[in-house]
Amino acid sequence: MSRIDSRQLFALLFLSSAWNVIGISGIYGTGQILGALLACILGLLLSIPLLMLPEYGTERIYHRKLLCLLYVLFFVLWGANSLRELNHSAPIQLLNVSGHWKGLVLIFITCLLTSTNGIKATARSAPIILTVMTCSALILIVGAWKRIDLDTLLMESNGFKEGFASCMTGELAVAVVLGHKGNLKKALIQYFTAKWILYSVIVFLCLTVGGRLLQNQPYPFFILTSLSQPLQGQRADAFYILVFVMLTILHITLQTSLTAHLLETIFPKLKGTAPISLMVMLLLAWAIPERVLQFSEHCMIPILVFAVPMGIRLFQTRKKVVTS
Amino acid sequence: MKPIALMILSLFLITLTACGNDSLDNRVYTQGLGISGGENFTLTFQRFEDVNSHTIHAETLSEAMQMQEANNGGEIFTGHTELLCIDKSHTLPYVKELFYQQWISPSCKVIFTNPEEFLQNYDCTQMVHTIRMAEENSILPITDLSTVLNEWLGMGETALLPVPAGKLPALVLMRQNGDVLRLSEEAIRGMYWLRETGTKEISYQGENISVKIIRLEKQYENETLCYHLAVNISDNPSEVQKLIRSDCEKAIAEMRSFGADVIGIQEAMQQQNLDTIPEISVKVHAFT
Repeated sequence: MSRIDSRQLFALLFLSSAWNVIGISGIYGTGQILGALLACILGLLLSIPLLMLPEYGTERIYHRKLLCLLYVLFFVLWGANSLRELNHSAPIQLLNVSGHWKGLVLIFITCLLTSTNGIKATARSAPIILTVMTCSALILIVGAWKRIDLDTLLMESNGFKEGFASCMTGELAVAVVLGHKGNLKKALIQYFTAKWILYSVIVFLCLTVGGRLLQNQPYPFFILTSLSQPLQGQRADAFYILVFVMLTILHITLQTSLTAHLLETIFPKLKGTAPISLMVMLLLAWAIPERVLQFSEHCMIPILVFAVPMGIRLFQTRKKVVTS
Repeated sequence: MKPIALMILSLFLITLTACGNDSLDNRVYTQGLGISGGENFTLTFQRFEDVNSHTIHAETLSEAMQMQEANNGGEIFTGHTELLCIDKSHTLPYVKELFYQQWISPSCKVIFTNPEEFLQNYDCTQMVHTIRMAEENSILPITDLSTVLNEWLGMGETALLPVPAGKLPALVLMRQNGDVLRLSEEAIRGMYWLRETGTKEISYQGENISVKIIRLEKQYENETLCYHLAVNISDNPSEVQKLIRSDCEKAIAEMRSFGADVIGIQEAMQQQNLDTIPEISVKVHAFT
């Protein structure tokens, strides 16, 4: 596989996490921002062994079938969890004018098509989607600016756990599979900084613009977008929905393409790996309870992100000592 | 081949840029909406470019929407509503439903009136224009849907609403349950000083004076919650300072006589861990 540069890797990681960030399930207090900060710092610490790997260090994963299978399992579970979350949130997040089922089916078909193009095509599209997302974030801030009321900012530690969980997601495993010495350091630092900034801005706007309107409301980001209308004669909701759909497609395509890519490495003769991966994700999303999916996803992150690169590093050091 | 493919693709994209004709014809875009709770729910609406109003009696808001669709063959779309009229009945659940489920615009103006009578006799465009002008000219504080709903759901459980009254709208304090108190002219000015920022023109002894609100701070000192208002006054500062203070005190007195809070007293009490409402005072710091 030809390599992905740091700009593309950053865009992939950030956009994938942005999907989780804008899909936050509730607004509780400024503790969410602190929780997110801790998650980002912990993520950066967990990725130290990964950053210490020598050139072509991460490619050792492709040489071990068992390791590949472990990552395949993670991406499939993560993808299943994403599909489940999308199904829960679709009635609120997608305009319920024509029915959300049509939207879900169209998103699924699009993911099926985009994932067959491979991970490189997904990586090339990421900077374009990042530009669109940055524009939408600016429009959101401009529209919400007038409504900011600092009196409603709850300086409480509420929401620390939720903030931590929202930012402790599986993107680092993507960095292990797609990263190399040349792109990792810059991409990871940019990714953690941008993710925390985005999360903090959204929580801040939800607290100060939405106030009581967003408390105890599921998926508050989408109510925030209805409050942020920069133009008087034209509603901007459709633009935010467009961005959300683009992020959803990229998020699921990334998980599917990576699973397909790793499956091709393990079983070179296997055809149609992308559709198979997506179907398995859909099946697991339907069959496995939500808590089990979330628990297994969170348990696997430290193993895949910290333990595996650490193991590779130790193995290579030992091999070097034995050879010398 | 490539340019032809691009042209075909562009044509497809152009078809995606607007609603289908069919859908547009079959929709009722409401400009003014009136809701009344009471024993039976009543929905009154005025369409854009149409001064005639339509009234539907039903059990719930969604049933009223369905009835309208079945009778007139048009689906009600509230996303562009500019004026929402509510009365004394307990309308909060319906307003919440409109905001969270019917995509009503958060900048839609909310007025207290008899919805059916108002929408039958008046043009929404005129009323919306009057309220907007009054807000832009710093005569009224901002009272759009998101502000009203935020205040109702807040600790004070009371919102400030305009009420049609001659050329310029007046203001009322309205509780969640529909209880209402109409504010005096001085109290309306006081509410502006205590809630908004910006520049307000006032007439003092036949002279037009410009007052710029620099900042408003709440401080709890000596068992008193004090509102410190810093203003920049163009002329006659000491007299105008007294007038502003008197307006604010009048607004606070009327608000407290109604047991209401629309100036964040409850939030300040929570910050200071107070169980009972403290003494409230106003200090105006004038600069020229």
